[in-house]
Amino acid sequence: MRATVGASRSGAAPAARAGARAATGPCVLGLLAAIVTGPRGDGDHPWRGVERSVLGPRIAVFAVLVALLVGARTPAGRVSLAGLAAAARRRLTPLAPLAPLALVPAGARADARAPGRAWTARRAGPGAALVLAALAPLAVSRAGQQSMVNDIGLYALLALGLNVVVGCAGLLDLGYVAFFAIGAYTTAYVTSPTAMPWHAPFTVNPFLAVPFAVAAAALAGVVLGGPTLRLGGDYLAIVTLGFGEIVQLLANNAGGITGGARGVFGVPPLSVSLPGLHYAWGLAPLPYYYLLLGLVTVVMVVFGRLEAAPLGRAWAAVREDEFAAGLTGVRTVRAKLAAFAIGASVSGFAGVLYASKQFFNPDSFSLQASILVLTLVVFGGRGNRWGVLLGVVVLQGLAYALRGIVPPPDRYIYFGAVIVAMMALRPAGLVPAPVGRALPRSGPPVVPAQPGPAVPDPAVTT
Amino acid sequence: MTFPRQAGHAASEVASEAASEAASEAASEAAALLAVSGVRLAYGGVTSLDEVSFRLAPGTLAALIGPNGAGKTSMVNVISGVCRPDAGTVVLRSPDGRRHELTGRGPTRVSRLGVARTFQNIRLFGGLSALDNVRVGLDNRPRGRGGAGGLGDLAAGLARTPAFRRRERAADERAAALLALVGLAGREGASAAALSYGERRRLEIARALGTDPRLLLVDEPAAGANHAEKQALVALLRRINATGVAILLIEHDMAMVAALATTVVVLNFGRVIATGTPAEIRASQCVQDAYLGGPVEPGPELERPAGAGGVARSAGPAEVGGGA
Repeated sequence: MRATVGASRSGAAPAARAGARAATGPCVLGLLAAIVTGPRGDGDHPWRGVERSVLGPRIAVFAVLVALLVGARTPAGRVSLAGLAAAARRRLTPLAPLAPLALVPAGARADARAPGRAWTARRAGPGAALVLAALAPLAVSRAGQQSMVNDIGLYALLALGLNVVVGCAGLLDLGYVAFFAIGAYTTAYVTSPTAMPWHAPFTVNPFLAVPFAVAAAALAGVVLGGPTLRLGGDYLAIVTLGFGEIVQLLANNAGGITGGARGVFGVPPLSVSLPGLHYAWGLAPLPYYYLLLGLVTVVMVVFGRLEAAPLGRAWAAVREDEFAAGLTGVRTVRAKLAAFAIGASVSGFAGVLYASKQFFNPDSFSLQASILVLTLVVFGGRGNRWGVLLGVVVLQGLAYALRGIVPPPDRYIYFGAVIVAMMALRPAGLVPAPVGRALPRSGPPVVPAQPGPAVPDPAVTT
Repeated sequence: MTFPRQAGHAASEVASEAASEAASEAASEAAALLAVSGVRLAYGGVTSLDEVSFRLAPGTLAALIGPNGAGKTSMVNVISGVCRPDAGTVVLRSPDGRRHELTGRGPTRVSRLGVARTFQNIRLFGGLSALDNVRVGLDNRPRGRGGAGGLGDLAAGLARTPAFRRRERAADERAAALLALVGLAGREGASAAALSYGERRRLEIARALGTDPRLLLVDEPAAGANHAEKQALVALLRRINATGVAILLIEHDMAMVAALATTVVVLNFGRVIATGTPAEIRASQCVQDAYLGGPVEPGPELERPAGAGGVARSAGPAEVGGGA
């Protein structure tokens, strides 16, 4: 009632009030999480836990995040962000690298309206992001670089792959990391005679293991998806959940094949051996980082093209209304299988890189890992690959930044709180998926706006 | 043509008087775009469609009417492949003369054979722009008619070959033209969920036209529309029909049906109770009884519908729009 009265008086105040109201729950939850995960008080100092938590950096980080989200949500915030991005696009201000990360949809729309400058405009943002990503590791410590490889780079690949399944095609996959495991174990199988009890009769360079791993993961995706994709969403989630558990339990218990809980040790590092060129990725994180950067770039380009192709629209149609999609001629099962197989392939690909880092064990492929990847996708923005990328950087970066403050087991409490806050404030994620293209690429059509003569088209009159 | 043709008789106008009943039957089936014969559909104990038979000529504009619960939407569901009938067949004839049995094919196949539909409760791809809604239809035409699919097209899309771009641009322009046809020019970029009710109804029609249909099933397009919107809709359906697309309109509004349809099929309790021109249907006592309540028995000018009497059932189904 108050909101209605306020609306008649002024426009911005009620929106801000509504934003503040929506932010209350997440704030309380964040506070609770900070207290629960913080240092405990004792009989002499019962309030010490609360004091340290509230005044400590944990809650500050969380409060800043909430404030940013609320700010971005109000009309004023949206306008200022959009203005920022537009300015960044127009001239290469120091803010330019932010534009592609924050407001890709706005940029894409601007491109559609200005076909003349489309080429440069479309590539300036991503190019700036790439330069920023290439320079970023030089500014952090070695531990930071390690984190950028293990926590951001690998998870970016995984999240981008899962985004195709969950974000584009709308299929809830709770066992996604199983394909990651299949990729990793396949790599161990074909690259080393000693890493696992079972090994292939031949050994290949880890790079050549990629086709094996991708094929195995894609095949697993098709085998799992074939019978289950005919089911509705909830059943699919349960089946994939079970599949993820089966794969992890197999890896853990089939000691005679996989090495069991001991894990896999001794997969050779990635290396290139060509006449006149020999290079091996060693323990230094930086070469791995640039390799991952290149791969993420390739995946981004490929998925960008897929989304703009008929298959991408078929995925979106299945996601929005599978029944209507089928009646519009979309081969729904085929489209869903394609999403499943493509997502699984990327996961298997990431598995090769993971395995080639010398050691892994079944713990890496737990349900929690699947949920983490799903969290990254949902946080960043389902269906928007730039949003997913940003989500990985923000959330995993946050985890790294808080590593000394939050004990690792408590990290998921924060992730949970962040997700709750996101669902309350930005249900579509950090960068929501764009609605779709506005106009044909050749510009506005020259047709009468109101009922004119029927459009002559021989195709219709068959 | 003075009386509604009776459902149990094959009243073919094509056949010469000399031809035998069977020959005329065969001839009219060969000429029909869609032949529904003896369709029966039951949900549990409730019989939704009972021995429904009718035919649609190519390019016709027919209407399927009946009181609430008469089985109109069930009929659309059977034709579009959503429901598999318990008995009977639905046969679509392609321009090259091939027969396509639609029953048991599934909605995707039926759509690709050239039967498109809209929904009584609007079902759009809400998160997609209006343009992309229509593009989904255009993408999923059969390959020979401009659609895409298969690994080759996937590879072309990844490589963004010149041929792929050309085809995409052509499809975009066609989608924009279809949006303009239904009066949605300038709304290409709006998300389907953000459109007004009337706009969403028209976007459904545009999306259905995107699949390049030869038969368009329109399920209660005028529901919730005001008088002006209904008039615009009548004009739109006429324009679509003029391009050669046969239309089967499911509608309550008799005035709209009278303005549009050349032939009307009346369903009641899952049976065809009358077939004829709008004027004939309006005059029919049987139809008035079905709508307004009245004697359970059909009016004096009509026999009992096919199957009801059990004995007096003759060969063929009713012909709709046979002369069109």
